[in-house]
Amino acid sequence: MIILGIETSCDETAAAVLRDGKEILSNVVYSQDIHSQYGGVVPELASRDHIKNIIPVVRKSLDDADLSLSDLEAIAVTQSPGLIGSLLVGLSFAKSLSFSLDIPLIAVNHLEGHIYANFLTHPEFNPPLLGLIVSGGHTDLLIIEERGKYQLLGSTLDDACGEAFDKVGNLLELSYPGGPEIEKLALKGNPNAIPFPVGSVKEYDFSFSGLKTSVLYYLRKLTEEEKEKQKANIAASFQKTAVTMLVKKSIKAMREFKIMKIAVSGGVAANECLRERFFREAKKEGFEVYFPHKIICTDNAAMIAACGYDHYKRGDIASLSVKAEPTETIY
Amino acid sequence: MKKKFHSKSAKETIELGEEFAGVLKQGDIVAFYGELGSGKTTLIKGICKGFGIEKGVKSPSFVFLRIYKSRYTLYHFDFYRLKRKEELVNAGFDEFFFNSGIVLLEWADKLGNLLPESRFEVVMEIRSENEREIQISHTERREWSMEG
Repeated sequence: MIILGIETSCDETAAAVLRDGKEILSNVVYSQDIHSQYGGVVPELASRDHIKNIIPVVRKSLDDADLSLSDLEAIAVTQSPGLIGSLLVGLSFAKSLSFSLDIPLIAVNHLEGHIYANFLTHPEFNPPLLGLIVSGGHTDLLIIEERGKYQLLGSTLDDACGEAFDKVGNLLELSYPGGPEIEKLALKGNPNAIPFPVGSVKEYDFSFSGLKTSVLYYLRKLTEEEKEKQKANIAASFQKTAVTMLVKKSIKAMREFKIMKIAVSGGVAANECLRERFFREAKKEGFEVYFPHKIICTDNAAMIAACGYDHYKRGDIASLSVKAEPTETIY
Repeated sequence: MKKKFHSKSAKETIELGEEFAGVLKQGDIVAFYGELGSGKTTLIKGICKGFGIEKGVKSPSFVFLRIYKSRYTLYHFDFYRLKRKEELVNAGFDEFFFNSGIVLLEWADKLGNLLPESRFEVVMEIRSENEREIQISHTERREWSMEG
């Protein structure tokens, strides 16, 4: 079965074509490259720009897969959560396509999509397992009881983990987005140079705002010269602390719920320091850890199509009157 | 009228926000100014608490907008990632400013002349670790009072 996935919930305009929910035939995220070949506009902000970019992106996803519109058998689209204006572009486009091609429409939750990035990468693994979604907008620890059934254990109370990376990047005067820049700079620093506090938020919730403020206070005490010298150490120490927060809570949850398997996804799951640390702890503590392929960590439509395929198999087809839901969760 | 408040902890900032909530009415717009870590989101947590919203109030820096429902609808914007003010119009965000609800704008300085004229202004400054100075004013002759 050939399924088209569409994702426009935040910054990225993305489309992908999958065969049987497993095989990625194409995976397109709007970029400068597509701009020159297919038109559209360079997006600045999760916005109406999606309108101008959705057709070039879908066209390229079909071209890359060597297919045409008439080959499509279903359309999966992100329907929640996200910015209403952004979600609406993808959803309205998917509805029109579903109506004109007379093929089923499947509504997908963006967060469940991130979980499916792991199912897509590791088709062999089976729930129950723990899930950790870490991105610019989300930091959620959950139990994946089965495909389609999730229980939230904890979430960030203030800044998302990826957001903290970006904001600390900003404090260190690195370029945007800060996450990959901090990762690069951290390679040159000592992760044990500065003991930033790990904090103590109850249960399985997270807080990254305090860590960001600790970095700020630390920087304020330094002269410009010291700042330059310490930058790499700050990046490495901050990164280590943020990773420790995520790993500690994950292990605590795995022990309490006696589920010694965890699937990490979202943009921050591309961070090598996080990956290495999880693999190291997994060996020591005796659990299994899974990460998606790096190209489907950040927002993409392949994960949406993979998730949509499972919904389709369960008969979960959306009506053409389905609405975009900015805040709906899967828990 | 301009009022200055001092907060010695995140807890005190939240309490100030709760009190400020009592001043706010349907249709109000509040612009927040202050550097990273100055406590804008913390103060907004307090405002939401004042409206009975205790859960799910967090930074919208990446998602731009979070919407909370109580007796009013609270639109919590964050323009941290805005590069040019025109993006605001392009994204259709300005439409929310004329909605029936209360609009809270973090990084309001990024909006320039697109900011609605009648608004509360909240300027937050870091005085030392944990200590913040919070200055609240209204751009028009609006009667309001707070003890702090």
